[in-house]
Amino acid sequence: MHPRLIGGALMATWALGVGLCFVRMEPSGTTAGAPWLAAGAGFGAAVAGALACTGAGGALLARLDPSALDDHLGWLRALGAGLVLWGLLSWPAAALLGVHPWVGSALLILLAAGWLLRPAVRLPRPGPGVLALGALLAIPAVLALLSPITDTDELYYHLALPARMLDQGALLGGAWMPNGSRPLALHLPYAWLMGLGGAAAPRAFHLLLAGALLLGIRQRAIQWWGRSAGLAAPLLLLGSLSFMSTLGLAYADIPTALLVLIATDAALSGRLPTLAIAAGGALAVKYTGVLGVAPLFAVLGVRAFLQPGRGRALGALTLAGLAALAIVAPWWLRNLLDGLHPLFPFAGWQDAGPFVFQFPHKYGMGHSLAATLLLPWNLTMHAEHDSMVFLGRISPAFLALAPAALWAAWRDARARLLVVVALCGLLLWSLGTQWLRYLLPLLPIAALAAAAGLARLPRWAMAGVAACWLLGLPANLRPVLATARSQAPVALGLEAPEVYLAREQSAWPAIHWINQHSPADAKVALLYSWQAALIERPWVLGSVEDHVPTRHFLALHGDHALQRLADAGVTHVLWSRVNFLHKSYAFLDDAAFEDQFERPERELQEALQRDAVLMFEHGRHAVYKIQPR
Amino acid sequence: MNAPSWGRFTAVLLSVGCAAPFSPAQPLPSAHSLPAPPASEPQVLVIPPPPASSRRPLPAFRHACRDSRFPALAGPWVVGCGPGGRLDRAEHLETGQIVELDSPPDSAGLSEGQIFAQGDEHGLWTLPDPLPRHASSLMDQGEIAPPALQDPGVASLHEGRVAVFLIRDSHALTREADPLPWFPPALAWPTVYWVDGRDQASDGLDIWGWNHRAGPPFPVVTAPGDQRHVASSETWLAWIDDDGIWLQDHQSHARWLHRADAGFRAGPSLWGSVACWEERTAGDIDVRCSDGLEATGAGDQGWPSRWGPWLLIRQGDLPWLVTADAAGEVAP
Repeated sequence: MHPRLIGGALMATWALGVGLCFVRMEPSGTTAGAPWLAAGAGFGAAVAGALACTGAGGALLARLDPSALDDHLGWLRALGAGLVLWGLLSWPAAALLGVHPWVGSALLILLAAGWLLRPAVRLPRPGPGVLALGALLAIPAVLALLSPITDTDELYYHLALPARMLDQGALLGGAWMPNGSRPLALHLPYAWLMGLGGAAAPRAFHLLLAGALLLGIRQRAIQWWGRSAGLAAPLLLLGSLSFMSTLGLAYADIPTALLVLIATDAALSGRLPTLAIAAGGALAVKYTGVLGVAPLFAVLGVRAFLQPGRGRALGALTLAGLAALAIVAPWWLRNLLDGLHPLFPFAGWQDAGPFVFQFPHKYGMGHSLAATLLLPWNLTMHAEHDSMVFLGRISPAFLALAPAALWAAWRDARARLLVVVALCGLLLWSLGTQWLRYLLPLLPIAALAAAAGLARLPRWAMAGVAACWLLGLPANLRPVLATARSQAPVALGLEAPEVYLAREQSAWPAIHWINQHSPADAKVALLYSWQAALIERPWVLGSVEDHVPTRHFLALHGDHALQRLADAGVTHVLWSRVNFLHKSYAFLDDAAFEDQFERPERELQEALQRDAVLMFEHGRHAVYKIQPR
Repeated sequence: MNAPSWGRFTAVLLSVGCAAPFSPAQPLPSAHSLPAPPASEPQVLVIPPPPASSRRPLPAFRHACRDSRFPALAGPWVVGCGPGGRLDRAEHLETGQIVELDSPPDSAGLSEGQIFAQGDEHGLWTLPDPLPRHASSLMDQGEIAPPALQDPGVASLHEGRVAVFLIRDSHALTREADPLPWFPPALAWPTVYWVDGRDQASDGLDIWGWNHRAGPPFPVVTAPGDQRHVASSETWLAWIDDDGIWLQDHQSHARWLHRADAGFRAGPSLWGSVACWEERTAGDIDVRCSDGLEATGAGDQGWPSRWGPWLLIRQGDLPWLVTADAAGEVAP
């Protein structure tokens, strides 16, 4: 070997060793380096996951849809297809071999083996300007990535479920673990990543997917409508709180949006195999993908119907639709095999009475015709990130560019399809739960349509749109920056995670009690509480939506609920006082509200006082020990 | 347990040698490795018939406190909360004098006419003075339960240790222990008692004690099951376990037991030899005292606090005062 190479290798090893020792031997006794090392491990696993997906997806597309790898977005399609494949393989792997880190590693190696087939995937090479802007905007996301888990959805689902499955070494689901019965096309990969790189790994993977989405949308807009569109499309997303707020967290909305974008792009370029894979994958990652997928297939169906030789075109589209359904169907099959409703936990709670998973009327500003017509305005002007009024915010530049996008749709077939899909998706969304995050799968399509409109404007008009975007920034970024400011000390190792958790999580003292003082073999039921990801004991139930699992369990077992928990091996209960407000459920009459919300909570409290032992209480959170009768 | 991960493994590697300041470096001595605590066969606690009593609501204390153990009695004073849930008011039961406390804490230790809470803005309130006198040493050191107060000292519990100090002193003595959070210590100066979890896996929770003048901490009650909710007054010690409420004279080590389903929420309140406790029977919660005074009837009564002829309880969300026509300390 060349002496210079050996010298270089020794020098690099020495430098890395000095750095690690510097962190390890920190004289102040703080663990300032720990978050960064955790992030390093997380990013390492995430990059490995993304590269493996791209290799596998590239190999898959090279067989099924070779032209999908031809242009600048080949890497994005390969990444998306690989992600779908990863999710698809994960269920049989987990069901047969268990949920263990080694299974995840083996799966990752299998996916990475796709590169051995030498797919013609050209990885993206963003310029230094794009990288610098991306790094700047990613600062809040990186701080979030380095922080302990305090986000509600990560606490009850996105990170809680992968951690629990890894701990149990098996798939989970049913009424005891309702989130485990959702399609796990993303959450099993999250579990594999967590097994390899800790909690930071799924978050870093999510951030990489978000970066891929932004880069992909930029490349697509440049290719179709020029540089100004290429700048506008990602900035529209980055100027929207609902997009920015989850960048550094392990969520499912942006991965769904990525797959919907790939499906839409494939539809525009007539690549049906890629369309089928991405559309099915989007549905398997999160059902809200239907907001983009359904209008897309409808529009393509109408288009096929209107063109000559409609039979063949409709047949091919039907085949693509069936293939997409085949990707999500295994999860329905899994539920059926478990004796559940195929769409559990979104449906199938009726064994305990008239239970619904979600009350769509809780969200938004109404479902009347007038409210629907006013939706674009209301969505932009009145949305609040911390109330049920859409629970989020988007950049006002979307609304500002709406006329231009319609104009572009008139003149440009691509923009037309994007606008129609976005509008139909918006209409579909308005019929259900008007939660802005659920609209995220459509947002890249809307951004592309808006960018198409912008490209047709004169420069001075573009300046007006830019001013509108800038005026929207403070309201959209303020919550993100406030969160970043709160997370900075713990992310930088200047604050102990326990101190941060005590500051941010009112339930932390009770959780800390469970982790530190309950017996090692304790099993915890989360009743009206959801902070599962922080609990270092096996847990069941937890909360989804309006505390459905707890309310369903209480409705099903009534006075015997605690005995049923004890029979299931539960030793402790983490209980939180909710005090449901009728004004939040104004669409329910007094009797229904009392029956569905107030009475079960009151009866549980009485049952705990009657049959359990209070072991710890802090504020509205308490830990009870269950006494088997 | 949470998922194993390389990230967590790395963090654990890094944290070696950086243990929390109060975590015991060595395993604590188990009760099994120490001489068994002296204990006599328990006698049955004989409860006399209820004396004549009257009861009235205390609407001034209707606001829920952040610490659900309040309102409570500090001698002849009721200490409770206003709308903010902090301990911001006290009322003298004989004179009706109401005091609004300055810098009210969320929780505190009480003794006759005194309130003590740690923290920079807190200290010792000697009623009816509304201002706290800043006292003591362990300001903001992560108390895990309200302190216990008995002139001239205070006992407080922290993660992995127990501490005692003189109110007027700036020096605290600490010992490694495994006190369970939320359960307050009991102080019979100079001995502090607390609920300890070191042997939880083998035989449940135990009561431990420490006299800082006489050596290391010692087990007080180590029977199988969960001994919890320790209270102390004069020479008497009370606690609750799965069998019922126990009373011990810690001079003679004589013990009395009243079998009941108790200690499921509130701890016993001890005034001399008179203990009061919550008891649940057939889905109904009542308060009973060893001198016969009780609060029973429709609805649940709970959270007893006893001093002299007065028994403070809560029924629903409203505090009530039960007053015995004649009360005096009685031998069990």
